[in-house]
Amino acid sequence: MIALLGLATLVALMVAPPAAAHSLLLGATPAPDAVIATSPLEVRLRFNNRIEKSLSRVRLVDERGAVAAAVIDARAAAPAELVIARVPPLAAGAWRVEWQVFSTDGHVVSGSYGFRLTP
Amino acid sequence: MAGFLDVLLRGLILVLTGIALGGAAWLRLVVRAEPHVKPDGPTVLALTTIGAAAVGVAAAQTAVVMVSFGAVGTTHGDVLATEFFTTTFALTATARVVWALGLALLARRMAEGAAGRVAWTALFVGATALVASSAIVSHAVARVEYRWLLLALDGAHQLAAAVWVGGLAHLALYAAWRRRHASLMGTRPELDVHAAAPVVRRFSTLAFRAMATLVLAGAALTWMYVGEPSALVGTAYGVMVLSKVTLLLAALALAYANMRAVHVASGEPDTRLFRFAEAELGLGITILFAAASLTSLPPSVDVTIDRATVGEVAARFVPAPPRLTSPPIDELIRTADPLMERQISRKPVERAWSEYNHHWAGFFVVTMGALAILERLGLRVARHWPLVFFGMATFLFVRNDPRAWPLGPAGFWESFSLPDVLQHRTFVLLIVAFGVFEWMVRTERLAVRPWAYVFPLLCAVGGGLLLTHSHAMFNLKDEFLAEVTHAPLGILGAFAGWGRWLELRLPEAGRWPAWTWRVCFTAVGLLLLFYREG
Repeated sequence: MIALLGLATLVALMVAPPAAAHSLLLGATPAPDAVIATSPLEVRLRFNNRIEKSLSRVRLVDERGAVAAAVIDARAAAPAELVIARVPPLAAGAWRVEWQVFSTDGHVVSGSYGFRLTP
Repeated sequence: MAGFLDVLLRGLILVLTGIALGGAAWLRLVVRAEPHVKPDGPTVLALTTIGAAAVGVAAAQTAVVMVSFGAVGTTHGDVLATEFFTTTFALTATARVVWALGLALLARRMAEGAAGRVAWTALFVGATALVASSAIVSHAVARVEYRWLLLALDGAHQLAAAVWVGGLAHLALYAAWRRRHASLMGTRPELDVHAAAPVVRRFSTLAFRAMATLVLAGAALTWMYVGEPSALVGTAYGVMVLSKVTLLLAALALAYANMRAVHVASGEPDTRLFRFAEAELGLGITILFAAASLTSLPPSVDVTIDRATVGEVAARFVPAPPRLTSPPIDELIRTADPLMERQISRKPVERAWSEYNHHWAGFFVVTMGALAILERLGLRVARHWPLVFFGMATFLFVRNDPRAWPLGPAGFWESFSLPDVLQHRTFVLLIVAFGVFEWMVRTERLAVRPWAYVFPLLCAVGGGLLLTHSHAMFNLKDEFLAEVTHAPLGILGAFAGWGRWLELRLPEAGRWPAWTWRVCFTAVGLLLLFYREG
């Protein structure tokens, strides 16, 4: 009977990834997998719940792993679920947006998606 | 691992705050402790328990804050403590720590001597505030729409759950105290238990009202967070809600049996009532941990793209031939993500490897279930069924971590430095230990009491852990479908554990507890045997 303990837990730990997915990215600009012609001035991420922006981070990483820091203005008059990060001019190529947010109820969630900037 | 730890801690907080408020309600509304009177034995026990639970709340809440702070700081070392500790979450959590410590001090002082009306009121109000403030660190506070309505509903839901589950804990403690007291006084325990009839009747009424509030508030929350019936099946959040409802229905069945025992039958409680209350308490605690799991999941209404259909979910439960051939280890190591890297997707060979593991594990469990059934039918030699654990443990040891010894490139000692491998091997050791214990009990090498209780308790804990462990991160739908069988596994684990508990604790309950756990056990094996990820 105790197999239910050991086995079930073991199976769960084997199969499941180690983090929760509490905050959900509902929309983004640039959009995931988008191909754009001009360097974006900002990255906009809209979540399903309120975000503590002062504890959230966004950065962009190019194909070679070089990082372009994006700056979140926590005091901007944007809705609580919208994270807006100012982005420096980007070179053409594939970029990955990496984000980590801290939701109002105390969960830390991270994620990433890619887009391409054409010359 | 931080996500899993966070859920466990939040579940623990729900249980402990429940014991605190349940105890305060128990003393005020059930035992009706009088102000300015030196507390009697049961009252001192309840107050001491409230105090200990409040200390536990403070510790667990502190740990939750530190886990969150650590999770933020791990990725962004430049985070300032002042930024973190001025968030709604950290401020509320810190206030709860202080509040819980204050409650613990108050309960301790009240246990030492006669307390006035103000102290008793403060205890009840303080415990209520401690539970109600849970809503401020829940989904509700982070919602964009209907925030205040959700906070109110969540608060009512949590208060009702605390009174019910915490009250059951104090009922069980009260029964234990009376048995011990009767034993010390040399009176017959059943006579002393009969003296508790008015107390039990008042608790029955309180628990019924708490249950009604819990169900009403829970239904409203489900409507607002889940949205539509198909989401109950097609999202992880919905499935967890269904799991809670299933466990609650089982608890309600036990509660109904208890209520009949109190109000319909002789009007006096008997041993049956207290044993059912123990099982009901166990299911209640499992429900609280499942509720904690919900806090880590996005509500169904938000999951609009990655939803599974009812058909896709049902397909995961349709029996299919088990996979009895493993993919080659070389192919797995060559193709799949390295063990040390963060997993970002599951490749077909990984799924095949996992299915093979599940299917053989299912074969072991079904074998044990069948032997346990044969044992119940009178085949004496079948009582050795726990020995099958060794075969399963060996299999899991070899197959769990294909990149570690003995199959993979990481050496035996080297592999222990990998957290996942260490975790898996710890569980394998536990399986061996549990197998040894159960076998020794069944072959009368160990006394039935208390050793036989280890197994149902750990089984129920395992079921609860499975319900709390979650969940999809990088691909909500695929991972949800891969894990959707975990919910019924967890429920069956809880049922099996508490079925076995009743079989041991209440022989006069007849055959149904013995058959319940054996059937649930076998069903777990069948679910594993037909498990599939794609």
